Amino acid sequence: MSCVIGQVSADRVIEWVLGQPLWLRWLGSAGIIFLLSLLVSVVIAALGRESRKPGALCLSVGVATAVALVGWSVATRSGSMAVHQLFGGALAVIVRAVLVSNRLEVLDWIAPRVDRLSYRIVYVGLAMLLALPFIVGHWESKPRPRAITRGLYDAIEECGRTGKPVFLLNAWIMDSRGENQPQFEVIVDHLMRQRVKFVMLSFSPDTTLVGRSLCQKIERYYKDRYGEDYIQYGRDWLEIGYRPIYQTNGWLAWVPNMKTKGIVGAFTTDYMGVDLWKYPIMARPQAALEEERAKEAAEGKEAPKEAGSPSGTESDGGAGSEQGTGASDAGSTDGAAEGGVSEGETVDTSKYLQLGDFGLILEVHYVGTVEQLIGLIRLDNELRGPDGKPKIKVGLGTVNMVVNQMLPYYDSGDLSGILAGVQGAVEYSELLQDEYGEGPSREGVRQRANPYSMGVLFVLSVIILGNLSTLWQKISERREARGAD
Amino acid sequence: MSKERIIRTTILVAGIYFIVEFLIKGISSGVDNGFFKKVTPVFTDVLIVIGLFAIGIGLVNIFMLHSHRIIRFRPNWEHSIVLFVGFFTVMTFAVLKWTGPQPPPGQPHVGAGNLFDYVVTKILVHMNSTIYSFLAFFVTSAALRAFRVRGLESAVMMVSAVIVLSAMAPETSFPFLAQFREWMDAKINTAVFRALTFGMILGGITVAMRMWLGIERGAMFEAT
Repeated sequence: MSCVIGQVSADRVIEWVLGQPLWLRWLGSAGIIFLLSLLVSVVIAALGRESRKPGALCLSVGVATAVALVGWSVATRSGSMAVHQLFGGALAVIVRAVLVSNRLEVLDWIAPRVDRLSYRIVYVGLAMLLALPFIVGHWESKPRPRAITRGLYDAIEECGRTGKPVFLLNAWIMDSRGENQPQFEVIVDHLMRQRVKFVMLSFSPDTTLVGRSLCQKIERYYKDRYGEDYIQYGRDWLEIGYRPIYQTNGWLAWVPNMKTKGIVGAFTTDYMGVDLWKYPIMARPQAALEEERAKEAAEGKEAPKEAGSPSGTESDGGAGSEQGTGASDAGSTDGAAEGGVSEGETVDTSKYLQLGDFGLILEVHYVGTVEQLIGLIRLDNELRGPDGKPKIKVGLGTVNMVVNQMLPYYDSGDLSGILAGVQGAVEYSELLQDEYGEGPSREGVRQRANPYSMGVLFVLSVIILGNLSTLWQKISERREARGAD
Repeated sequence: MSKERIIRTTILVAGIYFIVEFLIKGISSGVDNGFFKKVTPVFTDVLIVIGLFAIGIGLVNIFMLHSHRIIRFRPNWEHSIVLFVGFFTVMTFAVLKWTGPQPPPGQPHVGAGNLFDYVVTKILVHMNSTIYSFLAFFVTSAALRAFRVRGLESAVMMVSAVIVLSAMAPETSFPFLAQFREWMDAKINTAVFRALTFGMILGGITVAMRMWLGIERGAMFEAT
């Protein structure tokens, strides 16, 4: 009975602690570690050692921090509290160093040791901190989504409302996997969750397979959750596959190709070798057809025909049978053929998805070729709406290093939104969670977010420590010079 | 006509074509009667073919370099053998995948056909990530040794770095820090990078114009 009461009380205490504001948790951690370190100092003194010596001081704070870290991590099963203990330990060292009577001796002892800190200790410390989330368990990070993240989220939501597909460029590489893979996961999760149609083109040989398996994993998740018909390859999403040629030609040769030949003429088959025109997703969206009809009517030309259904049935928006997976039956060869798409078959590519029919071009890239892409879209008459603004939005998921140079394009409205590194993926995941609940991408994002923030905090700590030690050494030198005078 | 002159003339003509196409598109898409719409796909196909040649040239170059190293037992010739072994092994797996029995759409390859996917997803992916992750250790050691305040400018940079780094990690992202960081990104950062981009693009246009007109020294045939 007493154990149960004790457990319930402990759970309540832990819940209360985790619900407190960040600054209070830090201060509380520092306070607890300070008290624990005093206890350790008493023990050191009881053993007959000088407890105010700098080495003993650091040892007492170090032991107290370790005890608090292990204790809180085990109790709360939250690595977040472990981080607070580390910062609490740092604060406790400073407070104890300031309070002791031989504070100058303590600081003179610590400063040059920080300066001369061996690289091995730094690397081991970093490795341990990066491994911490995998030891104590991953915790929830709740960053505030920035405007650049929300902009991309809203752009995809708008594609869902208007029915326009998204053109997803899978251009990241394994080197940038840490930042780009979670971005890719949350974007595909959002697209599939909302059943926003998307077509994926890959530029990198290694991430083609990874991207495909991620899409298939997320597709399987939603099929298991909502039924086999919820989302289907060929109807709701499609992968063109890897096209190395575009990679060697400045990445953007696909743009004029798609503009002149349409997607069916430019790429001809998907990654399985099936003709693109056989897939229902290749049908032009109703909004695009109506827009073109209005434009042709205004110019006094004949209205564009809808793409014929290969199996003879007309579905909303044009081509395609009711079957979702794989190819539908071969058929339609009417009209003037442009762009031979496969041997013996010619298809009027103008009846299928064109570049202007996409609502959003979304690139997940370690660098980002959006500057040229924006230029190509902005300066093309056919890709501008009646108000002069581009018909297609552009979004980008990229590494943190590159985000700053892309911000001017976001500021000018050329970019609808940017996912900035892992942090962007976490923010996006927060938006998805708030709106739609837990999803398949959440776990992958969390697994990367926690070590990422540990790494960032470690770098921040060494920058501060290094500068503080340099400052203290300069102060000591001046003090000695004054003392010598 | 010398080879150099032929190349320069080709570059000039190609540049004129694309400039005229760009200007025509900007004026009206109907002025050219669809001429550019018919001709541009040919150019993009040519570009694609040239790119394929580049892949081939790269491969031939690598083979020549490493085979010379092996034949003449130059330093690190063992690494060249590893390169060839790895290259031909993965090529073999890829050929087995392409030429072997094809599974139904959406299903994975089995048996020998799966080896290529295995090498890529289970080995190559993780090796690449590991190599790139070393950067974390380099950055950390640089942060400890090199990122020191030495004057006013470095102090300003350090303060903004601390603010941005703090805002990046949710554990230290206080609301005022996050807002300040967003303000810095939206106002200061954007303005600075916009100015930098203008400068870089103007410089790039200048160099491109000079290369197009064939007056850039050291661009193709002359020593710098």
